[in-house]
Amino acid sequence: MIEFWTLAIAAVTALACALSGTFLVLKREALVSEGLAHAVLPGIVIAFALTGNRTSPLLLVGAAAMGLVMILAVQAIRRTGVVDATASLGVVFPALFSVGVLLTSLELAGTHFHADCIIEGNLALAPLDRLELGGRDLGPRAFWSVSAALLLVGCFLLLLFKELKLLTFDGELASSLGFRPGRVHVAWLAVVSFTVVASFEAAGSILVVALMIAPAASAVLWVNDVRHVLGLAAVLALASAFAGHHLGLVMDIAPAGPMATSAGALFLVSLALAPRGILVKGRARRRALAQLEVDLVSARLKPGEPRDCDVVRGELGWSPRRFGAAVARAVSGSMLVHDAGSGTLSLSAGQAEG
Amino acid sequence: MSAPWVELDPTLVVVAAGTTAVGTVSGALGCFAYLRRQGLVGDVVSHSALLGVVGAFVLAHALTGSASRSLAVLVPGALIAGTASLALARSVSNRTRLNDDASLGVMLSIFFGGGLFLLRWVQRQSPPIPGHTGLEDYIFGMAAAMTRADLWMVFSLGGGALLLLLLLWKELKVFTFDPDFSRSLGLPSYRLDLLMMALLVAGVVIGIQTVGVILMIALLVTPAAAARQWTSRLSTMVLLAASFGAAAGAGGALLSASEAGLPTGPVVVLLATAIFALSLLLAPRRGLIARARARRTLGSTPPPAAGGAA
Amino acid sequence: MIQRRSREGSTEPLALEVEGLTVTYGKEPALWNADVRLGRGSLAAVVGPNGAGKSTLLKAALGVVPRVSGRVRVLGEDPARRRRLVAYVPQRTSVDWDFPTTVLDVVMMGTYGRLGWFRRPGREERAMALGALEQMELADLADRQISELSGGQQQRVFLARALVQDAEVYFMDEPFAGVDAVTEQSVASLMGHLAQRGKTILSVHHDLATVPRYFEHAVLLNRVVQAVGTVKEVFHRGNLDRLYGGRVPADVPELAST
Ligand SMILES: Nc1ncnc2c1ncn2[C@@H]1O[C@H](COP(=O)(O)OP(=O)(O)O)[C@@H](O)[C@H]1O
Ligand SMILES: [Mg+2]
Repeated sequence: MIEFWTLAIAAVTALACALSGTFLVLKREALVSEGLAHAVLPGIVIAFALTGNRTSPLLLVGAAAMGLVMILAVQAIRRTGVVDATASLGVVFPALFSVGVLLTSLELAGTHFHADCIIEGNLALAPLDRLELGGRDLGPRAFWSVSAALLLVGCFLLLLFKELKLLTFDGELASSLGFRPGRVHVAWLAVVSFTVVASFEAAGSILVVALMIAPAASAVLWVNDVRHVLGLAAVLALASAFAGHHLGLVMDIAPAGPMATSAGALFLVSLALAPRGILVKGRARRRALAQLEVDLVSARLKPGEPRDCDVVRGELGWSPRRFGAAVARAVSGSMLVHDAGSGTLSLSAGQAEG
Repeated sequence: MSAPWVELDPTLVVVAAGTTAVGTVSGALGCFAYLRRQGLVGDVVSHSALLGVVGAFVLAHALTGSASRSLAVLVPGALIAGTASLALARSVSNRTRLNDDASLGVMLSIFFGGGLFLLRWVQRQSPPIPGHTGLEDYIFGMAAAMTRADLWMVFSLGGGALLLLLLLWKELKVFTFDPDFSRSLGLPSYRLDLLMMALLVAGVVIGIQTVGVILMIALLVTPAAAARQWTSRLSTMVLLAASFGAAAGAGGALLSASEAGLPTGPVVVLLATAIFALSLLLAPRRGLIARARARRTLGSTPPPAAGGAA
Repeated sequence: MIQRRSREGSTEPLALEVEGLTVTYGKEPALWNADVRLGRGSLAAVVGPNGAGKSTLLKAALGVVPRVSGRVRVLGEDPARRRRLVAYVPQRTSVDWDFPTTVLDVVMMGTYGRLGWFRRPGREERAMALGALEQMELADLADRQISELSGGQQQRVFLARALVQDAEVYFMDEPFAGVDAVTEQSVASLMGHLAQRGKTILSVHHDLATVPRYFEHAVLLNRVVQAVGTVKEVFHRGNLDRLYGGRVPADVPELAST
């Protein structure tokens, strides 16, 4: 049963992170997740200290507010016009995280938070921390909080998918159509922030970042449509969670590292195999270049007028090897005729007619 | 709780010298990343360095049979991992539709996740590998663990990086400001880019023992962002950033020594952040107060400092 | 296509010789089989729609983009061996004008090529930079932070930097874009002045109406070179309609319809 709940928590966390991360990746703000995953720490610690109670839903909301504080602080600094957006993020999130670490080290009443948990969470213990309502055991608290996050993300996507898409792909257009990208954007980031907080205890900061970025980045290499990207990112995140969990069990270590590494491994596989990955695109580029070279040789010939190979090669400024390879390709594609005896090239009959 | 500078505890001298040197070097080197709008690149480099540190430890153990946590082993590992993750991120964003942010984020996941994975695995080994306990410190930093040998490593690597910066000052400057023009002068842009990367990685690597891989970014970006507000000259900016970094480093070491259990890294970061906040408010011309005042006297004329940074 | 024919029998090299140049950044070629020849002392505009490869042509002439095919010669040599005789004025918007540096500093960058590695600019370089600033009527702004300049002043700073390079051939990317009337006049007269002294200028120009006023030669470019020649020969309605696919801005008064 513990095993079941562990997997359930991991799966829901993976889904919530992957779905909310997709738009961050598409909107060129993937590293905002890195900022949020650190900035919420003081929120969590303070909320612990104030409520003194791990089960209060206020805890999640309070901690998520700290994510919003980071976002608003970054925006405020950027608006001064003297510090750019990336640098503002780089100033704000370490500062908030430092506050969190200091608070942790002060061990405010009952908030002892092991340093490891900040980075890796504690998935193994999560199923033991139950949510009870009127004496009834409803299952692990972490499950319900990540489920709430998933629900929130799902609702936002269902209701505001169009607006989110518009704001992601064209911020300017969105504001001219009156969608107030500022507000939709901030609301969305608040949802993301909530997801980070809800996932934090079980997953830790590294896994939140990895699950938000890597599956979406992999999915983008396979498919085009935003809906498909969302779906594939969810599937890849689930796969990473299960694979990482299994690896963690086998090696008897906390699953966060293995899960993040699995998400990364799936990205590397996508990079190699996906239609928009490096290998496939590289092959397409080489093929296009080869075709371009053939075209360049042909462009130097007129129908019925053979020309000396060396002259043509000189005009192109190519090495003999490169020229030879291009001519060989053109000849095998019956574009050109190479007369080895006279060392001349001419357009093949079919080409000359066309 | 006695004032530490009265006692001049020799360990504290080493630690304070170390954090000051780290603050100086990373403050200076961070300026170029800041000006190239690559503030968060340092974050990815420092996280990635964890895999290099742990990997080098494991490799050294496997090859020599004796575990070594000396910086002479760990630093090259960190340098290699940091550079590899940057180079990979670069080639991913150059060759796929993924933007810089996404490819950097993925590399962070792979290298930091992998580093944690390996670290936990090392810690599970039985019989335990001697020395593995210190590896954990790279995550949050452990300035107090700094030894004299570590200090020399910081001085030599940091000094070497600063010397390179000084020697190639005008080349790095023109390349950062106007890459197209610098190419037209015949400067090798690919190699200069690589050099900038290497300098950034060096700045990160000497600092992670002190402030940890997570907070390292603040030592690169925050002093640079603060220094930028005070001056319109690159040389002054670099000197100021170095001084701000040094001040935060020294202050952090002393403050955390005066209060038991106060971790050094976060204190250093918060001091740097305070310097940044003051700069944002008080700097002449670009500072918020100066601009508000200028707005009041000039009516609606836009402030002179509202330059291109957006 | 030779603009200013050198005397019979003279072997004086052309300022710029581009033959069969093809450049690609990955997909469609940005330049296809381009031929451009400019004699020394030419004052030439590169004209064409957005994305036509105008900037790419300049960069290829500077030898800073890899070429798929073709040959580029500047003053008879490979561009890599003529760097000291070439000045480049990049598009003004290609740099961050909030960079922490002063006007004088930027202009002194024009001496970096001559200085070579490691050496710092000294008093002599400073004097040259001040002279160039004087010439562009910017002397009193020498110590200003560059973000405080207007667009026209920024453009003149770039031109002053090119002047400091004391080159034979000048490649300029849209030096008239977004500048005030004063700057426009001073850029135009600077170009005329340089050309009179036998310097060669190849400048990307976006304003069709002023091509005949400021330039003697024109390169019409849209991925392929459509025409190269004197403005009189090639800069007419027929060629431009072809160049812009029939969408030539209507307010081009000085066009002879041919
Ligand atoms: N560094 C680059 N990488 C990829 N594509 C580029 C690059 N520079 C230019 N291009 C593409 O090459 C074409 C020509 O660009 P450019 O020479 O800048 O045109 P122009 O200056 O005439 O507007 C455009 O389609 C542009 O998108
Ligand atoms: Mg252009």
